[in-house]
Amino acid sequence: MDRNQELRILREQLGDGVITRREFINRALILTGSLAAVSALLPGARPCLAAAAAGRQPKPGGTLTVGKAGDFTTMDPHFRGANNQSAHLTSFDPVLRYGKDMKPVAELAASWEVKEDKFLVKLQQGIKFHNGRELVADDVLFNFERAGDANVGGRLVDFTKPITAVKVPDKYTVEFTFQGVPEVVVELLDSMFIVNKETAGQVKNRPVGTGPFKFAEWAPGDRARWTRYTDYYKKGQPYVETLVQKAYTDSETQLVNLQAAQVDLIEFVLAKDVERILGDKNLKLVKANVGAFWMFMVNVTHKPFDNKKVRQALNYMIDRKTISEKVFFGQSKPLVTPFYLQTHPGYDAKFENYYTFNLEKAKQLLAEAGFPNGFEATITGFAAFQECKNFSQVLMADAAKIGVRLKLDDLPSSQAYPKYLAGDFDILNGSQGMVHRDPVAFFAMNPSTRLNNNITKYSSPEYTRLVTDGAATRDLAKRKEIYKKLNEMILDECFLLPIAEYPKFSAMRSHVQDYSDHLDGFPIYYGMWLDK
Amino acid sequence: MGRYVLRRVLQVVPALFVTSIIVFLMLHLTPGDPAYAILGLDATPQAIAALRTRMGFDQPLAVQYALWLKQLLHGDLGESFVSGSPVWTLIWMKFPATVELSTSALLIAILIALPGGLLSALRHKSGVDYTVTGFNAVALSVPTFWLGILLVMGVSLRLGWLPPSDRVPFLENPLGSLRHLLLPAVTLGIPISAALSRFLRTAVLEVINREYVRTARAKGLHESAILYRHALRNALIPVVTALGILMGQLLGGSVVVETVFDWPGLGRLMLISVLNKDFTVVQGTILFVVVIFVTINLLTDTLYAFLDPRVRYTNH
Repeated sequence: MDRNQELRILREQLGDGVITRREFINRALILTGSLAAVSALLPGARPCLAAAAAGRQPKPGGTLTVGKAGDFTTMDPHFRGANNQSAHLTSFDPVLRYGKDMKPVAELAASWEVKEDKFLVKLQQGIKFHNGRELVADDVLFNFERAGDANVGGRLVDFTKPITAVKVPDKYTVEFTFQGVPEVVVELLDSMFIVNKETAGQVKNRPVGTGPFKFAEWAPGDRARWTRYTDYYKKGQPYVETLVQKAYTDSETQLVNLQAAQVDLIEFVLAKDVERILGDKNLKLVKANVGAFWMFMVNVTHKPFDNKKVRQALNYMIDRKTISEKVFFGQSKPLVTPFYLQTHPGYDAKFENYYTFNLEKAKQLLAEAGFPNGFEATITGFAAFQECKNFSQVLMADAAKIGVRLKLDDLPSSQAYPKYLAGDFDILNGSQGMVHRDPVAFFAMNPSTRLNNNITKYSSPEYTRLVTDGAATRDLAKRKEIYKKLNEMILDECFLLPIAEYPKFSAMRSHVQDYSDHLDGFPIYYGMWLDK
Repeated sequence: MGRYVLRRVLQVVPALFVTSIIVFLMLHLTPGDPAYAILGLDATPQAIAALRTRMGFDQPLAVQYALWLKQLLHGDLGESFVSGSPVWTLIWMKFPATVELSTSALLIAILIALPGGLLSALRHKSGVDYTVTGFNAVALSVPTFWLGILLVMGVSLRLGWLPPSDRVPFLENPLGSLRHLLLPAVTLGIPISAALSRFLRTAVLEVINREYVRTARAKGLHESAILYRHALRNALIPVVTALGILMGQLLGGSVVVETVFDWPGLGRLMLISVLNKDFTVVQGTILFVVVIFVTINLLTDTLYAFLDPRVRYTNH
């Protein structure tokens, strides 16, 4: 039976009431792999997603009101963090940006070239900051120095480390000298949004950049308002006159406001609400792959996890299929390996089923490790993430069947962060990202995989050699070989246990057109317009 | 009368001092490091250390409290660690929305409670009494967040009659302002109306059996004159005191209602600041709300003393 036949049968079953709407969505998603396709198959279907507006002339004007989960903590783009990223895409621009195909796209740059260990960037001429001054190469140098200053406070400092020198040969040219692969410079230029030098001291709450929107006001705990920057270097853009970003503390209130047309777009939707959005004819849904996954981390120095067989046994105790269906409502694909994207240099199809849910095998490994009657351990978690609590409970229930008594210590962020950063845990639940970026970033930035201060405390000479070689090798075939070995090593050593993909869902009213998002899933506002 | 008011004002001072200690300890003795909660995982150790110094967390607790109290006595509530805005500015920005919501809720509560409480007392043990008492029992038991969500789902989403959230300033758009205000004010006002109605019912029942009411009736006064001139005037005295206490409930309940209805008032500011561990804002806002509550109670007591001279003499 081909895919279309299966879809037709599913649709008939839905019509006849044989299956529920949720079952239909979950099963059709597996067949099509696309929410757009699924929503088009639903009764009363309408064109979905941004592609609906392709080829149409954008209408300028109007106010785009966006609901975001939580308020900003700072608007300084050199200080990342999920709650703040949507401010960065309004007031600021990066020099280069990674496209969805992981190829660099010019933003403030006119061109760039790589010569051995030099990365030369030519800036576009005539781009102005919101305060009227022209952007020049010195501004990029200033931003590099600021991003690399640990006292500024953001982890962007790690991105600057592989860059050994920055020079400004002329007014519009910047020359980076780097170690290893040139992607390290692209990673930095993609993440480093350019701040205006003269006003950098107030950037925390009065941002000034070259971006599509000028900052107007921030009422903390309520909303931020931005107005169209008429001198934006992308002529004609942005299309909307005013952008309002409203902070919500509760996902239900946020969604109700979208349904009642009080906001046009919400940046973050929980998996449990996907079906509800697909069932509302006035709404559109976007699923973005942001290279993230849900996972457990294990501290390999804590007993009994200092024994590799115990960690492997833990991996066999995870029922990923049940977690995917019950905790993530079928919206997150179960994962064993972090390198789950086929475009990743470390991807290998043979690793996809490296571990399956097998309590017998887990019990056998525990017996071999000297724990035939199980053991006790604690899972440390972040109370703010209900999903983590839920998937931890699935593991706890299964582990108990073979005598492994796991306790969940769900902590507020003020208590969980210090434990997380110090590696003070047996098992920790949470999420990790950067799989869609160059592996150099994944192994330099992620606390569980980096070489220095790895919070799982895992280290080995072979691991260090492979990570170092991967960052220094430019030959793609050799890189693939290295990262496949690292993939297998992560699977074998089990200090990082991926569970399921972590996609980012956004939802919007049907009049929002030409939606597109940044590599990390945040909306790019300058291309969006309102068809109303 | 003047001495009575002065004595009540002086009694407020130790109450506020104790409150300031409780508010301070409540936040500072909670386990965990707020510097991590504020800056998140993206922060460098240097940034965490700098924030801890700026917040004064490297000082002993007593020193931290003394510094905060000194600042407080100079009328300075400090700055938000998150947005950098002065706490006073944030409070004044949000206060009008909370006043608007609380007074509207109180008005709705009085409009429901006054006829309900009176009818219930005058038609004691009748069908009307049981209906009003039943409504009050339900209204007091229903959690405000649930009632709020129910109203949003029904009135806003299903019927599309009123907007589910947000505030529009009255001077900008009077009709729009009322449309946005109605649902949160009703949600906040209904439990208050039930409490008020029960107070009124009890007070009226007590008064209408008193000798002076019987005497008035024996003198042949009209029933409405007995009710308004003799019964209600006296019954309202304990109700006025209850109103002062209920104002505290209004201010407290507004945290939940402002969150459900996305109302930009002090309650929502407090919740977001608690989530962000923005200590200075939480401390400042709670203290401000306490001062408002104490002031309302002081005014109520004064009004009570004015309405019932026995209060002044008893307290001498």
